[in-house]
Amino acid sequence: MLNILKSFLKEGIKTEDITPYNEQNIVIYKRLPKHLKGSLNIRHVDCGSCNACEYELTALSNVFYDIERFGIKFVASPKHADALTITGPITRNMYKPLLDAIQNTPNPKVIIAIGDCSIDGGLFKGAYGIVGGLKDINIEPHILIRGCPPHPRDIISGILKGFEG
Amino acid sequence: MAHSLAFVKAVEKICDIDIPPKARYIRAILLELERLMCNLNDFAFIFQDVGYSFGAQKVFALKEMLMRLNETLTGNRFNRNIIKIGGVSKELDTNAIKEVLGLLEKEYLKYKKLFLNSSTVLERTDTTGRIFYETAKKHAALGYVAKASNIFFDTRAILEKDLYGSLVKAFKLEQGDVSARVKVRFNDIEESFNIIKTFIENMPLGDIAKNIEPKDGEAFGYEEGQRGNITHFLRIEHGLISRWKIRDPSFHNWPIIQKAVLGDIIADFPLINKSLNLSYAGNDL
Repeated sequence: MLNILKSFLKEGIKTEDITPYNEQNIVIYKRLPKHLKGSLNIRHVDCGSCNACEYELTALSNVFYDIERFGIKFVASPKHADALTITGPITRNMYKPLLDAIQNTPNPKVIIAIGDCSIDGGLFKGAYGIVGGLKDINIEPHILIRGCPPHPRDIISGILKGFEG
Repeated sequence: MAHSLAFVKAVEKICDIDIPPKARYIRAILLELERLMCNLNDFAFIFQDVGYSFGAQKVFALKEMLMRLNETLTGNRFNRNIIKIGGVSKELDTNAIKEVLGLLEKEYLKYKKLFLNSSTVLERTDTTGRIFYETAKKHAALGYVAKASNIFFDTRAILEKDLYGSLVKAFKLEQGDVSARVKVRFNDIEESFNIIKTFIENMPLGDIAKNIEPKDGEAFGYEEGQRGNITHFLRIEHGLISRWKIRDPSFHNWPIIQKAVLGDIIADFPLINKSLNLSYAGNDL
């Protein structure tokens, strides 16, 4: 216990300041509803990604980025969520579950596309196992965060930027 | 990374070329950086699953340091876009690696001690999720699962003895429980530190890539990923890939989990699952 306290005092706080910035990696199609600011519950849907985006989403809760200080939280069911994060090219097997997840999210639902694959299939464009990106199934996300995979800083910044203006 | 290496190795075998020694060293260093990152990630999740979030967050911070190192080295946090057929596409900044790894090793040893000396952690991990030698042998377990159940199989030690020499030790444990699998990871982490240090010191001079002439044919490519041996089978016809089969170590290790959880309480399932850290997609390839 004493060692733990000592290391707290010695190392200080590692969390970094993140001020939302405009960047080419962040594309905002629609503004997010104002009332969700400070309390955004996210359900993550992996539609066949290579897991690099998931690694970065996990990194969001580490001490450097600490996403919960912005009131953004990951939940276990689309029924509890305000927003869905979607990664990966949409595979044929995940197409139906994705539609179900979107249908089960209460209105106003926010859709956040993470990574290049999610919008148009990216690297996997035209492959036999995939339906295509969100563009191909006519779902317009609110925010798109580009990158392969996107930097955690871009993800946080993109979500915060969505509330502005 | 390990998968892309297995793929390029298959192509290089078909085209019958030897890559420059410097490229081999750089590839090996990148592979160890990836192994280190994955092992630290698993280590952190084990802490998380026994409910010790202090340790988990500390080790996650180490992983983040490593990913930032990757970003400065290759411009991508996952070291993508650096392996190419015939070599590598970029030189490495070895001073940056040395600096970060020095810091990392010191920190890592602290949390290893924390793990091995904490009764709360050991109570959960010891004798949990035992995989016996016979089960592992029958399912042809790979990677850390095999090493924790008294089977040593490491692609680096078998196929690339000329490069690694005695750097990859024949490390194996008998218990086959969660804590044995974590201890195997400790050994892997320490080995990675050692390999990176040795390779940086002995880095040969010369080119980092070679031009290749595409040829037709078929070949196997092997690489030791973090989870175990990765095998790619590749057939090239008329300059195009006509058949490509990928075998991930998770394909071998998935069926073992049903034997591992027998007799354990339900709360231990996430812990056992994490200690095996199987890939869902790897099974379907």
